[in-house]
Amino acid sequence: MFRSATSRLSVLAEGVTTFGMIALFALFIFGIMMRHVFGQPQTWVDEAVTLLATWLIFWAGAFVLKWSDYISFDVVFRLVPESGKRLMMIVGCLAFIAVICASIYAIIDYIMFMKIMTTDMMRLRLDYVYSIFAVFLIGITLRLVILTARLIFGDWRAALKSLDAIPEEIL
Amino acid sequence: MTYGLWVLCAAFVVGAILRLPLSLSMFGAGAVYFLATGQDVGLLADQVMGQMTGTYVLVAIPMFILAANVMNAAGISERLWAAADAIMGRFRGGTGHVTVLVSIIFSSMSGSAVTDAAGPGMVSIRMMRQFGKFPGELAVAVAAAGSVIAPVIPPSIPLVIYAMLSGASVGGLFLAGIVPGLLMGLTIMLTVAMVAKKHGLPAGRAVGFSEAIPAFGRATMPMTLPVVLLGGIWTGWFSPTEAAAVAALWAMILGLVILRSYRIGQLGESFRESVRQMASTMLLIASAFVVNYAIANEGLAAALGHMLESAEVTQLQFLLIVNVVLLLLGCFLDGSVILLVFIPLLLPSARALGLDLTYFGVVVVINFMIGLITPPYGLVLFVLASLTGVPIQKIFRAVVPFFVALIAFLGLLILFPEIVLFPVQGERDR
Repeated sequence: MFRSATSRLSVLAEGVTTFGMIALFALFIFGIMMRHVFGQPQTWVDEAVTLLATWLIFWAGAFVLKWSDYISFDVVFRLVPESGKRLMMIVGCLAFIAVICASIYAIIDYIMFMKIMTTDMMRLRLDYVYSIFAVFLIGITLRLVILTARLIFGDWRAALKSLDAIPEEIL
Repeated sequence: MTYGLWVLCAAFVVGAILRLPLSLSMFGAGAVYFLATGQDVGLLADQVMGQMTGTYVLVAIPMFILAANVMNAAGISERLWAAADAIMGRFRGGTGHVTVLVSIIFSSMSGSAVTDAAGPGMVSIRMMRQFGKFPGELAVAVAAAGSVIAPVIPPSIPLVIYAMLSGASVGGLFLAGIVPGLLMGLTIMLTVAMVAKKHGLPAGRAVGFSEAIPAFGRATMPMTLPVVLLGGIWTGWFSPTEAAAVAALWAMILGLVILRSYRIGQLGESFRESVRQMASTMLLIASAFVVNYAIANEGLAAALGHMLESAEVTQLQFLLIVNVVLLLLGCFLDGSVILLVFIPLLLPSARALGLDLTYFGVVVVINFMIGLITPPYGLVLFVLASLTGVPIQKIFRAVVPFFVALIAFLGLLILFPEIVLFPVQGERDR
């Protein structure tokens, strides 16, 4: 039940990202057409593509990438036996969760404070623009909580395996 | 080193060793640094979001990735292979030379070595084993060595990142990358010739004129992609970011309309793949902004500059030291991390010594590319090992001659900067 809900959510998250990437590409082409074909440069497009790309990165970073997609340093990790790997991951995840818990309030507070400023072209409030960063931090921390729970209470061998899988786009 | 820097480094190293994703290790280390030094942790959001939303040139990266993915899905590797085979296939170990030539051509469409290795690289490995009688590990070594040309010949994702860090022009860096990229290809081909002789590999078959002409014809259309991309940048019609998007559009037109080897149904998959690849790269860039802020805040780059100044280090000594250190780091760390964290540290010193920043950029990027095929942490070697099933230990041994040859080539670039600089100089003098 829980599994199928999360997998449905991840399909939804991936759909949103794919749509976002198509929108990014379309915006680019629109901007280029307006500038070079119709001679009417749309200055807001440069800002829009930068903001959209930033949102896409953090959205995908929190909800779409698989653990094996993230670039990691595993020279030491590969040398350790399975049970050591399990322990290392648990300690690493708990440390990150603790750090984010200690800082998230100040980060959200800062982002909310940014409501006094706007972007240069489209005059979007910066607290809205920056909010994706908080969403990213909270999203990724929750995923780490789930991973830690799997490593401690669940099928930890399968969880470890999911870290090493080759990213499927390469296959 | 200051207290703040110790805390930052320790937090990052612990996170990385425990195998947290490197981007999360950097975000975490940044937060720990702010907490430990009594600064507002909100600065984390300020640095990351301020830089990400303020750097237009970075948006070129997703578009470069999209263009290369579309070209890969359109199956241009086979077309390029046939044309390159007509030129280089006849020699001893011919399929190895063809592999390098295909890598060079594909380099002008892709900015990432992993894309090159997984796309045309895999096609080449199959051909080398099947027709060239290459042992598996040697085929992998040749394809891996060839793939590292991709980010040197434009377009190039590392050069775009370097441009953002250094303020050097993307167009200038792209121009400066061409000759060294081609010479890297030549270096690898010479190595293939030597290795082929040692293994007693057979010569390929000579392709006749009547067969070669259609093969060239079929490869012509894919070759228009770099013309559109680089022509657009150098004529000043497009910014590098716009040119990347135009290249992606042109790749789609080529695949869907002209070559008809790409179906409209594949578009969604190409977008989906591209977004994942770009997110994992760009997340690392985003997190590096925090670390760079902390390093700048602690005055480490300036301290390093003073140290080099008081030691009266010359340009050549500086380059030699930097390259040796980067090669060593490259054995263990991801090239993008070194680029994002260590290069900002070195840039002030490079400037103070009067080094040309375009030249410096090309040299360090070539250095990182060598790192991609350096044991024990050569990313491309691992990707190819898992895709082909050839044991990594065997690949490590087979790649050594290529690795040595490329290091010798890097040494040549350090001793003779003109190799990189002459096209740029010509452009600047105009």
